[in-house]
Amino acid sequence: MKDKTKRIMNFRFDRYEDAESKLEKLASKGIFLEECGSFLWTFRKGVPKKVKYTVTYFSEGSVFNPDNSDNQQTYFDYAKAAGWNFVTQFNQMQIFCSEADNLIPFETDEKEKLNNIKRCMKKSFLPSMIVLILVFVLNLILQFNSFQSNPIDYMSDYSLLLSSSMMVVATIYQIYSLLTYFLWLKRSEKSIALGGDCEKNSNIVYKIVDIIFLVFLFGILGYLFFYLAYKTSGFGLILSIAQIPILMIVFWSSIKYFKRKKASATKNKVISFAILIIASFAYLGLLMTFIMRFGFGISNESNYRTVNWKLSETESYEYRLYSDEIPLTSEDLYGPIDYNYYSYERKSDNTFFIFKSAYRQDSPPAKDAPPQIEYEMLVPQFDFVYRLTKEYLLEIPEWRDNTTFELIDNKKFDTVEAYQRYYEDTPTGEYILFFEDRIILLRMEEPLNTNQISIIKEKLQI
Amino acid sequence: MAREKYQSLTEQMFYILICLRQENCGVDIMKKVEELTNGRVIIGPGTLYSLLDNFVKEKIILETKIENRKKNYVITKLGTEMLEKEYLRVTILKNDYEMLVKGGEQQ
Repeated sequence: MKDKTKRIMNFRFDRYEDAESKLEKLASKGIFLEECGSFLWTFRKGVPKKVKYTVTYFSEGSVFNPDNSDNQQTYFDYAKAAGWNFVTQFNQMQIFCSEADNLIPFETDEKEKLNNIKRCMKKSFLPSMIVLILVFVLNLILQFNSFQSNPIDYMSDYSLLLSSSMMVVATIYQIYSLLTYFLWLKRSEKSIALGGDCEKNSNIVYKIVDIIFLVFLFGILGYLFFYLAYKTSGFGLILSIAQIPILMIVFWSSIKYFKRKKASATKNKVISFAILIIASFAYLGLLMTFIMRFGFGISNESNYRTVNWKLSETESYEYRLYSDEIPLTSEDLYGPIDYNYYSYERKSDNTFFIFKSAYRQDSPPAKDAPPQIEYEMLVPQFDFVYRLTKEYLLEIPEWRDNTTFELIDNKKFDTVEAYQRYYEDTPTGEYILFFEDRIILLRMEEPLNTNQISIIKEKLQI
Repeated sequence: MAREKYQSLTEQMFYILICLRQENCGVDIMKKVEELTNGRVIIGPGTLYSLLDNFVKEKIILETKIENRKKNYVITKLGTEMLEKEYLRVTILKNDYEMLVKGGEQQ
């Protein structure tokens, strides 16, 4: 079908004039509206013509209706009698067109027109907007929770930071849309009270704000996908990107299917939403299985080999042994160790807030396993990040009352402040070292001796 | 509610009620109003639909029957009263104008 084209229409219910003038402009170029949707509208190509369009709202309209109701048919009859031909509808929005010259306007009473729009918005736009805002706010609360439970992980994770900022932007945009609608409503009411028309809403400022928001939103989204593509395996990425389109297709197919089956609007609505919810869970399950099976957060940069490790007579597990470059190794600290199954792992996460490098040298569980070491270097980029990080690191949960952090001499590591972890009054190999602009965490198996400390200082360039 | 909402009638409301002293359907009302006023008052289809819908809800008019999918309406007692009230209101305006503006000129 070459004579059909699809276009993206970013349509706002209270900017119907914009849609009307856009449709008229397209018709004069020979592109005629055939069907509208939530985002993608279908057009038919033909001979350029002068066509007038009107976008109105019919309060009883719904995508779930199997047929046009009698009332809607009456509405269409009135329109026809006045020379307006029905083109298409989406939810409550109805679009009519006409080629006649001296045409009766679709609405001849601005007050009735505004009341009608108000009624329609109360029924569909406002509830969905409020639900959306609630979902976004809930999401933000969850993200804030994850920030509180581990600020270091949160602030060093680009995908979390990006998705949070996307949520914030989307929430602000929704609230902004809601506010501009109420503003338009108030202005229109005032204007009508003085005998005028509904306020024209094709303000250039609104358009610019819209564009800025959309560019920002899609910018973050694009960056997020780019980041995920760079960081994670391809299939997992495709699965997570495809999630929303696939769920939407399932949802709309269900609506269309039951519409064809002539199911009642309520039945259609209930079943379609149930299918959507079930499909979301099924998809989430699929994604989870995939992640559990193949892993998700694997950095492509790391090189590793896998070993099949026998845990007992019957059980075995596949371990990844990395061979990354790390600045300080067990061999440095404890002398030559000849062991074939050491894993040298390095993970760097640098964000706007904090640079985090985590290093680990360990091996699969075994009776004769050699010493393991683990250390992290944190470089907070702001004072408040430093403070937050410090606070978090020194926090001991109430239930761990057998653990304490004891101050150690700053001269040992040339620190500003340094702590060693004690377990039931016995010192452990865990240290938190605070420097002027960075923080180092050491997790060794045993407390360090002077010689080892000087090796660490040399290797980690303290 | 009805009284509050329709303290005064717009021209479109006024002529719709005038037409509905006899049973009529929406499309006919649209044409008739245009004829009666020589095209001075026209009612758009969207406005017609919401006005009739509201009038039925406020019991100003009554839906009588559906013929070939066409809904017919007729004015109720309340509607007649409203029309009468509007007539009185406009008459007062007319009289006041004659007395205060035209009469004032003669003095």
